[in-house]
Formats: sequence, C-alpha cells, structure tokens
Amino acid sequence: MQLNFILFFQEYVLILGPEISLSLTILFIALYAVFSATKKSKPLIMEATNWLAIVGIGITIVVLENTNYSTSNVYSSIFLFTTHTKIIKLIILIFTAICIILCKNILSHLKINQFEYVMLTLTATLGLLFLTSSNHFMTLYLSLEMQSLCLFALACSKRDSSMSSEAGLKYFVLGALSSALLLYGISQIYGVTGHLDFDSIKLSAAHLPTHSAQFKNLCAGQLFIISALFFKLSVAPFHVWSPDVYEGSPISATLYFAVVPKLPVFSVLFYLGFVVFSSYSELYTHAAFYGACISMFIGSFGALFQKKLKRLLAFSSVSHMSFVLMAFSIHTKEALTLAFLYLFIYMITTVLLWTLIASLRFENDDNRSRSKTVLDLVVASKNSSLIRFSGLIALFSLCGLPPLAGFMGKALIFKEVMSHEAYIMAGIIILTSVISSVYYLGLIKNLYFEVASNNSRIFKPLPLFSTFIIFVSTVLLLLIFIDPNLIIDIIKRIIDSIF
Amino acid sequence: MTYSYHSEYYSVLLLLVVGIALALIILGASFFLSFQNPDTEKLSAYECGFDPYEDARNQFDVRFYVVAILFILFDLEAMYLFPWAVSLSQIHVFGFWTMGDFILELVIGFVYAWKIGALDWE
Repeated sequence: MQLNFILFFQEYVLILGPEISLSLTILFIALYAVFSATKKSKPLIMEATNWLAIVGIGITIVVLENTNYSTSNVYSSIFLFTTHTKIIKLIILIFTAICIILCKNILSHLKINQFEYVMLTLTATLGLLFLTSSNHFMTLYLSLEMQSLCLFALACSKRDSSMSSEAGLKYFVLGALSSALLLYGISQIYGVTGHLDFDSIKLSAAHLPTHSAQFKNLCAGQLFIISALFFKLSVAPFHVWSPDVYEGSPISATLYFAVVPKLPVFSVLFYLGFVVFSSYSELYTHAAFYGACISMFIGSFGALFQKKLKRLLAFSSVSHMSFVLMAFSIHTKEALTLAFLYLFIYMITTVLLWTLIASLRFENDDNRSRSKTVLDLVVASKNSSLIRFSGLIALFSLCGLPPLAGFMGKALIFKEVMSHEAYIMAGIIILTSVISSVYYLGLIKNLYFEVASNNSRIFKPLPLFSTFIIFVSTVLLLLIFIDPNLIIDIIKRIIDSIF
Repeated sequence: MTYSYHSEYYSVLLLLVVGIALALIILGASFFLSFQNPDTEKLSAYECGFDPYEDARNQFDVRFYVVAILFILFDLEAMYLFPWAVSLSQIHVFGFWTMGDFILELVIGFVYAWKIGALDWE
C-alpha cells in the first residue's frame, strides 16, 4: 500500500508540480491575507502579498526546472508534458513575476488597495499554465475560462472609476461571446469525430474525405475555435474590445493583458494548426492570412490619430499580432520559428513600453487614473533622459528600424514571405509598415523635439525596479539584433518538440 | 461512417419524455392536491426583497445577490459530490483524494468568504 502511494505520488503529483506549487501559493496568500486584513488594526498588506506572490512564482520556476517532462499518458493524456510546454511555462512565469513587481508601485499610486489583485493575477497565470499543456478540448476550454474570468475581474479592479467598470463589463460580455464561439466549435468537432482529446481527434480527422459533409462540419468547427482564439489575441475582426479594455483598466492590468496571455494562446493555436489538424493546413493558412491582412490595416489606421497612449498601443499590438499571423500563415517550420521570434521580440518591447507609460506619474495629479496622453510623455521626457532614450529605442524597434530587434523580426518575416512568392502579403506588409511608422515617428518627435507647454506638474522619479526593467529590455533589444542566437536557440528547442 | 439515429438518440428521447412527464406531474400534483386560499400578500411577487415591476432606477440591496451567488456556488459544489459518491468504486484512491483536495480548496474559499464578511448581513 505504501509503495502504491509512492508510485501514485510520482506518477500523478510530481508531473503537475509547477501548477500545484502555484495553487498552493494562491491558497496560502488567500488565507494569510484574509486573516491579517481582518485584524482590528487594519494593517496594509499589499506589499506583503506582493512579495509572497513573487516568492511563490520563484519557487514555481524552480519546481518547473526540476520537473521531468518525459513521462506521458498520465491523467488519460488530457495534459501535454513536452519540452515546448516547459519552456513556454517558464517564460509565462518570468513575465508574470515582472508584471507583479511592476504593479506594486502602480497600485499604490492608483490607490488600489485590494490583496485580491495579486491573487487574481496568479490565478490567471495558473490558467495560462494549464492552457499551455492542454491536450484535450475540455482542459483547453476550462483553462481559457479560468484565465479570462480573472482578467475580467482585473480589468475592473479600480472600483471607484467608471472607466474601469466599463472596461470590465465590456470585456466580460465580449469574452462570454468568444467562449460561446469556442464551445460551439468544440461541439461541432465532437459531433464529427466523437472525441475531445487531441490525439484521437488527430487520428479521426486525418482520414476524412474532402467534400464530405463531415469534413465541412469539421472545418466549420475549427473556424469557430480559431475565431475564439483570435479574440483572445485581439486579431482584427475580433479586436473591438481591446482599445476600450486597454484604456479603461488600470495600467498594471493592461500591462498583464498586453504581455502574458498572447504567448500561450499562440502556442495553442500553433499546436492545433501544426499537430492536431495537420491535414487542414489550408484552412489555417487562409484564416491566418485574412486575419493578418485586416489587422494590419486596422492596426495602422486606427492608431494614426490617437492621442491616448493606451489606445495607441492597443492598436499597435493588433498590428504586431498580424505579423506573427503572417508568419503562421506560411505554415512551414522555418516560418513558425520566425513567428515565435517576432512574438518574443514583441513581448520584450511591450514590457518596455508599458513600463514607460506606467512610470508617467506626477506628484500633483488630481485624477490619477485618467488615461495618459501624448502630452504626458512630452512632460516626462523633459524630466528623464532614460525615458527619452529607451522610448526612442522601443519605438524604433516597433517601427522596424535597423540596429534593433524589431527590424530583424520584420525583415526575416518579409524575406520568408517573399521566398514563398506571396506578393500580396508582402505588399500589404510594406504599405502598412509605412503608415504605422508615421505614428511611431510622431511619438519620437514628441519625445525629443516638442516643447512642453504645461510644466507645472512635478514628475515622480522612476522606481528602482522600473529602471532596471527599462534598462534590461533596452539592452536586450540591441543584443538580439547583434546576436539573434540568444533566443533562436530557445525557439529551436520549442519547435523541435512541437513537431 | 453511418449514424443510426435511432440507437444514438433513443436515450435522449427517453430523457426528454420522462423529464417533461415528471415536470408535469410535480407541477400538476402541487396545483391540484393543495388547499388554496389566496390573499394579496400571498399573491404579490417576492424577488430578492424588492418588487420586480418598478422603475429600473430604484436602489436595491446588492447583499441579496452576494448571498445568492455564494449559495449557488457552494450548492453546486455539493452537487458535485453525488457523481463522485456513485462512481467511487471505479475511481480508486486517486479519485478519492482528488475530491479531498477539492473539498480542502472549497473550505479555504469558504473561510475567505466568511472572514472577508460576505456572509454578514449587517
């Protein structure tokens, strides 16, 4: 009996080590925070819960590093334990830790004093970890729900701001719609194949004759699932929520929305397109191509006359997601490498830019949660040369100018597109890149040449960790251009394990 | 691949028929077998402490909803125990401890709701 227990422990518990350690962290924070917050003296525990969360993530990273992901078929193979899930989980955890450390200062500036904030962030991360290793449509749906329910609550976590409540409600209603699409697609696939786990679906989907009714049903189901995933990625026909939600929610939540969930959702999309439905590549090619084309136009034209920084970056994120989709639509192994490369560069640049926006804090600001405009950037850039210089680097990288990582990502994707003779795609990339560089260059002009008319506001100095993150990501953007193998090696390991 | 709809959907049809019949029997029995003595107070609608047909801009008490949501939450979790209890012989030690873990996490959620004051009326 005792041996039995040890075997059981080794087989079932150790393999989920990271997830279990993260959930224990969440439960511990819940108990600790609720017992200290209800004391008579009413202590402030935001700082303590934040540090607890960071320690918990640190422990989770160590556990993840030491988990042996070679055994398969535990839990009736509803989870996938391969190298690529391990690496992606590691990246999710690192970026979540950055978000949590950054949000400490932002939350105290915005006067959000709820320890639930950190718990919700961690629960969303837990959902993303499960999403990364889901190998069954039910785990996929449940983890996606777990993640998005927490994000709805994060969006409206500034309870006395109507903008924030509005953002939360909008996100909730539209997110429910996308969940409905996802479930409908799953039900179509279940109706045709009779399975929900990816391995069985892969077997039964591969041998369906083209032009049969079942084949068409399966394609329709996949289209619904792709639409739901596009919604989560805010890719163009499904991007409508993103500018409003990005603008309304507190900036610490926006930082999390913009950076962390994109990677696992993309990895699920890639896994579906390349492994599970490998015989339906045409469908994924078309869906990704049209999604990318529309988002390129929406992303570049939408941001053109935007004065609010958060909305501008939301549109810019739409247009950057489309580059990843362009690479995905070529549907080769090399293009997938480029898609991951672009995604990682995007994540680093976004962390840099949102940290910059989050650090636009003024001493005598009467409305602290108001959304930041280009004017604030002008005032801040006069005060801090670090903001000015790193803003320049980040914007040039997003714009795609040579000595930076963003240029490399765009150029490599463009080269891949040209080598597959997809000239329409290449034309659209060039056209929209020119348009979007107009507003990136406009922001840079604001950083360097604009004269601040209203200098009465006192700029709060940057917190230490923000400075650190700004410095590191600026250096990374330069380093990746000089030596791309820094991340290409990691991506190679991911790709080899997917195929 | 051919579907034989008779064999696949027979149980669904059966469920539908039995469900409708059972609902009719329960509703009908309580309608016909009970003694009815209506007055205004009994006939007035009562929903979460306020009249449902009023101006939409009235204030209402959000505590009713909090209690209702908590009730649904914990009630549904209790429902989850039934299929677990029925299938306990087939799911072995792993199934048993899964439910143990589930109950533990539920208890922590309950402690959280209790301490934060979601169950207090005043």
